[in-house]
Amino acid sequence: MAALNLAIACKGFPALGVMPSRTIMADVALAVGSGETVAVVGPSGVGKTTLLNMVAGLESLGEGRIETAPNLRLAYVFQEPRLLLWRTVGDNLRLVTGDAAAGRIDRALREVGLDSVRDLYASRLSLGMARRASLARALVVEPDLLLLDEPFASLDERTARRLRLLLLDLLERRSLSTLFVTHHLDEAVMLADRVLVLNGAPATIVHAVETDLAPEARRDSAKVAARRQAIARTGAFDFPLPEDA
Amino acid sequence: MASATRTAADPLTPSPARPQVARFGAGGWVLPLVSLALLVLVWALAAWIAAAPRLLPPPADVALRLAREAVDGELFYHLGVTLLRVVASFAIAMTLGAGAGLLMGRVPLADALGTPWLLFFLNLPALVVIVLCYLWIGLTETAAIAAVALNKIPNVAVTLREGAKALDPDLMAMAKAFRVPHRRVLAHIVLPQLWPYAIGAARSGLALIWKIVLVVELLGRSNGVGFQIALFFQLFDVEGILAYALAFIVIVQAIEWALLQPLERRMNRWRR
Repeated sequence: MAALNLAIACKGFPALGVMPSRTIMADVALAVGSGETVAVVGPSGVGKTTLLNMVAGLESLGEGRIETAPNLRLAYVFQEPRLLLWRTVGDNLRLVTGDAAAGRIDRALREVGLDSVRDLYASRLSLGMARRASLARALVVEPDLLLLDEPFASLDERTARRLRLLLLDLLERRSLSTLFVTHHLDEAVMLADRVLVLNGAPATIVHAVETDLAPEARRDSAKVAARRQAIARTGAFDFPLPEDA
Repeated sequence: MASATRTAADPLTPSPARPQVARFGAGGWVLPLVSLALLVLVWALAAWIAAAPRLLPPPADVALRLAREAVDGELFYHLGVTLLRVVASFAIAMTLGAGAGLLMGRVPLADALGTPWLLFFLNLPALVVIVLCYLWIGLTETAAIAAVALNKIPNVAVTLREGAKALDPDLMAMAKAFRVPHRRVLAHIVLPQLWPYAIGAARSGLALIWKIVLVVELLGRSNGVGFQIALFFQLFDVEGILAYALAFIVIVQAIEWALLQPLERRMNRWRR
């Protein structure tokens, strides 16, 4: 059974100040199968983050409906780490699990390589470490559905690559159902089973591509780049990308 | 907590400050002490030049008088009464002011309706509030404490309103996405962000309230430091006025050092 079934007939924002009301999404249908990783790519401002926020219940659905398992456990890795700087790394995880989960907290921190800083205030982490802590906070709830919004943006390329490999390991090991948004096409091809392209005004899903890569090929930058170029030749990725992607 | 992982090899932990810096630096105790001694010296010098001990008694005379008043028992009685009034009106002002401020910070309608009231009460002179309270309620303890609290509530409300408006919406969204229970959101996300504002309000509140309490006592009470100062005023007793003022300054500073500053340090431990 699918972890997520989302159908948006129409999603708009009401008029705000000088901005007139506008429709940003129409006829978006999206499903994430159990254990499947789905990437959403598209130009800046097309509504990718809005899509995630709608799934997370932070944004109204407009004319649409969402189907998930009852009592779905959801985890969200935001673009910024959104940690409580005044709490320790361990306490940041305890915030979402409650007190009874010491073993799970230790395991999640070990998985992202942060077990040595459990008792450090989150304010002391570097951006790369804070990103990993944010990932650990998502893992520790043992989510039925994991949302990630540009999880590795504004990191240097080496750190980003290391974290991508880490995430790939975790997705495979925990067989998580995952929906993630990115600007980075190689990242989408490397991590996802399926890549959806969101484009147009109002936005809709204009392409859906299976990545068809074996686990070891996903860890080989050259093979990932070759697959991305092959997909690009079909015209699926014909949209402007920001400079850093 | 954090200290558990602190080792010399940990690059994330700053090395402990050198002892000299701790004693002489901005947060040390040597410079404030020197500065205080200088103040006493200036006072002694001024008293010596003025050579009018009734108008400006030297520090030693005031210290002796302070000791005499303390031995009498009168000093502690009046200090205690004043301190009780400070504590009672402080507690009322902080509770009501914080409640109003948080409501205004979170509910735009409350903010729109409450702001003109705030402006009105912020600009109402303390003396008017005191006199009206005595006229309307009578020369009672209730009137005295109500007058002091009313003077402070608007300041607390303004400070806590800013705090409530500054709550990070991203963290609230995070808590909502993870379905963090309300009690945990309050304890770990909301209150820690409000603490700096609450401590700021408490600090300025203490400084303002004890001064207003003295005026309230001068106008309509028959005990307390303010009453004693009014008495000394009529007797032309500058020595007594200074002795009582000094005693109270020491108490308010003690509260600041023993209570507010350690509290603030505890709250700020997480900052780099």
